[in-house]
Amino acid sequence: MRKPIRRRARSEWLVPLALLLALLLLAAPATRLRADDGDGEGSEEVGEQDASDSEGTGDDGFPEDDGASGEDGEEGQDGEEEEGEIIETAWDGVVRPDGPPPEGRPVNLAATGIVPKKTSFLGLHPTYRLTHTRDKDVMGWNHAFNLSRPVTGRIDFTASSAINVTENEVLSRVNRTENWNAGLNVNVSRAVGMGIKFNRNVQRDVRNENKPNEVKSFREKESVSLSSNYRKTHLSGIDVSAGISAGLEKNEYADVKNTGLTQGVQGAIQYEPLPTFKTAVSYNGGHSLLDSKQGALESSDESSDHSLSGRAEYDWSTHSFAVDLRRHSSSKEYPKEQQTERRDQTDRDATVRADFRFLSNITANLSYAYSSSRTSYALESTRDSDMANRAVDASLGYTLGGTRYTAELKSEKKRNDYFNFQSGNVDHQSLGGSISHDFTDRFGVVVRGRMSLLSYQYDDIDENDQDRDLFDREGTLNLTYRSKGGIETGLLLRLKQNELIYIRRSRTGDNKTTQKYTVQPSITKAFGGGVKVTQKYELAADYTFYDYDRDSNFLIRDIVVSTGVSWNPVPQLMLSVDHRHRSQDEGSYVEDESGVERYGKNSEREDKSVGITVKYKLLNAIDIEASQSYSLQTKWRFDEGEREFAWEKFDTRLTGKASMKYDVDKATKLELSIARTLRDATNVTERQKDVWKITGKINKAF
Amino acid sequence: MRVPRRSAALAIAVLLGATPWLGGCLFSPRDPDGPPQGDQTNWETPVSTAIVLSNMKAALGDESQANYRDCFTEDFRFHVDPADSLLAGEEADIRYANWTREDEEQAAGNIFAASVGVDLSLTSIIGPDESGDDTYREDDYELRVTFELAPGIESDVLYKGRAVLYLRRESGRWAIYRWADQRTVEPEQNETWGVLRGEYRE
Repeated sequence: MRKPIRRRARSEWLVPLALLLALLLLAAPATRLRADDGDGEGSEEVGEQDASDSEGTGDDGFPEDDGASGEDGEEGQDGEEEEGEIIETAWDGVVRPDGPPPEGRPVNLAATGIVPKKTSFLGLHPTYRLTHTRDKDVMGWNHAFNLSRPVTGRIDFTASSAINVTENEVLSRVNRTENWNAGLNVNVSRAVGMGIKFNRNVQRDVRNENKPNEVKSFREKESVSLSSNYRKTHLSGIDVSAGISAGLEKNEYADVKNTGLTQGVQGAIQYEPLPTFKTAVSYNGGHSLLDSKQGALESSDESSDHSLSGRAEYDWSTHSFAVDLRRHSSSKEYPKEQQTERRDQTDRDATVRADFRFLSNITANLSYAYSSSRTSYALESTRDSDMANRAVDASLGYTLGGTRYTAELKSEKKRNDYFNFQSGNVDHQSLGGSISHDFTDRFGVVVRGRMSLLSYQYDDIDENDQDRDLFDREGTLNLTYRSKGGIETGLLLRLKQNELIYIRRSRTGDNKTTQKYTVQPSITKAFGGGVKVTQKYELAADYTFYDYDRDSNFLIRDIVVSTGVSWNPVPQLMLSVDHRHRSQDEGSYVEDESGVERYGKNSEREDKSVGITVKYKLLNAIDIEASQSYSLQTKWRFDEGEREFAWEKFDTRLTGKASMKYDVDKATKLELSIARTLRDATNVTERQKDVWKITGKINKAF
Repeated sequence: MRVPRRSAALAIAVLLGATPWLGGCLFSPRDPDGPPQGDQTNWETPVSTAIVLSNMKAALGDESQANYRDCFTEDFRFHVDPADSLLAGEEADIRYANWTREDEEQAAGNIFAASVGVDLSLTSIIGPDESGDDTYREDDYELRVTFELAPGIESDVLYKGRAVLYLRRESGRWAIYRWADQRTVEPEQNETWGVLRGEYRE
């Protein structure tokens, strides 16, 4: 077993140093600005912000007008994501079965599109957003606060916080995520900048809070770093940037605690000798030394990270070429089960790409990519891996008159080494093409074809019998026609075949081919008075043929008819009625005595649903929606040709919803939504019968 | 003779539509070694969500990676329990982040390779509403994995938890497109299937 290296990081002195530097940075502007005034040759404004521009011009990052863009807020969010190293691999601690599936990551507030106007308050630019969501079982709070303060033209201070709290009463579970950031940036000269940053991330998951069986899981990370950067563009077309950073980091999770030092180095050169030729090289490096403690283990964990990348682009006539190269290596030590684990990883990537444009109507793209990744562990060597991937991608597009042709070819070969009998090759090839043609303004046709072969080939076929090929083919024909009378029609025909071919005899019992035939006609007619009627049909037959188990051959047949009528008598009012009928039967598709494959129905199922929805905008501010739906599923089984009732399920829902958006003043926006669903259904649980959902958002710019 | 442009386009379209069925010439899948030595297939066409789960159980029991893969949609995502993610500490990212169907298939293959038997039992907690093409269900699972510690010495490990499953019907077949794992007992008692997945992801 590896013995931990005992090295203690002397980090204590860095805290006062950081504070001292922060004070110096605050005091520095008056003395340092003039020193750089004569250094303007060939330099461009790089992060420079003149004090006179700091209000209202937009150059300082704060939009002058109502700020629909809200870039600053978004930048803040992005920054948080970069800083926030708590990994969101799970939903926010709560799974809501009654609602739509939540996203895998926390909501990005900037993405909500609600960005209030930025105003100035004593030179500060704070914004605050509060979101509250509640239903019968789950309550969520989200606070987001951003503050920007241009101290002078060359110094700005930013701070932000984001707090998410989700409580699930049914699961007796609370999930809390906090992210705190603060930063002070100083443009020492046009080319040189310095900064100090603080970041704190906390994530807690508590089950059965304040009860004897309370269980807490958490992770905390705090970091502070000082950075200095340089960037200058020379007349010769060379753009040079470089930066260094150093800081402190503190982590706590599970039974692990560690603190220590971090350092970083960045450098980049961009060279553009010709307008048609650009090159760039960049390097990023990081190093950390953390004193860790886990139970009886006390160790110094050293980690490093190096990334070197280069890019060259060349434009020749109407064609362009690009080459990308990257090499990344990292080494990370961390405590694991009271031992020091070390993960070493080396990645290499190379991509060559050529984009051709011949004449005005022919385009072609060709690319080749190679990547490899090697990972090794000191303790868990069974997780070591060495992967290599080669891929060629070619596509062609050709337009002639009203016809567009496309073709695409992909070939990918992977070599996966796990240093056991899971090692092997995975090859994937695909070929696709399409033709689209508009015969008239009203009639168009699209034809598509595609096939692919995915092949798994393992080295040790005695120990691993999972060698297999997946061969997929698909062809579609799509017709659209619009009549003079305003009737829109469409017809989709699709044929799809998938083959699973296990190679080894111990597995070939599963070999099968599925064939799906689908026909989807549709028609839409808009009448006067805001009435629109749509009807869609779907007829599908889905066959499964087993290569060596023909008695298991199977057929599913589906017929679906969907009808929708919507009526907009006035802009504020919309009524719609939707009806859906699905008839599905399934059964064996095996040969009879005469060797002819025949369908033997095993079961039949009918799903019917009808829904009515009314939407009304009240006083041009409040959206009111009421809907009612009813569905009925019935299943029959067939026993020697006789249809027997199997089961019946119903589901009925009545939903009322009111929502509003209100601008309290120019800087304050309010959103509120209240919905209640009453439900009755076969096998419904009590908590699903009456579900409230309330959402409130306040956006305040001070 | 000049071929009308429209006819030429039509001919190419027909050829293109037929290309996938002529594809055997371009892509040649391998021939299997022959008829099966072992059991016939345990796969059923998944016309209900219950059959998806029984197929998954059979695929685990038979150690069939392809059938196991077919229980999930192309855009499948797995989300581990938040507590398991936090407990993984430095390894949370490499174990659980951005879990796709390829990860699911790879992890299953690695578990098959490391074990001598896998047995799954499920208990329905919330049943599905299969009237639409999208539904969810909750099932408590017990996954018993038998590892061979040494030749002739086997050990069973029981993984327990709750699977919140979101399923979608495409062309009459159901498949799982999202799986949220929930811890029902403490790690000291039993780990979740999510933790097992993470251990065998790579």
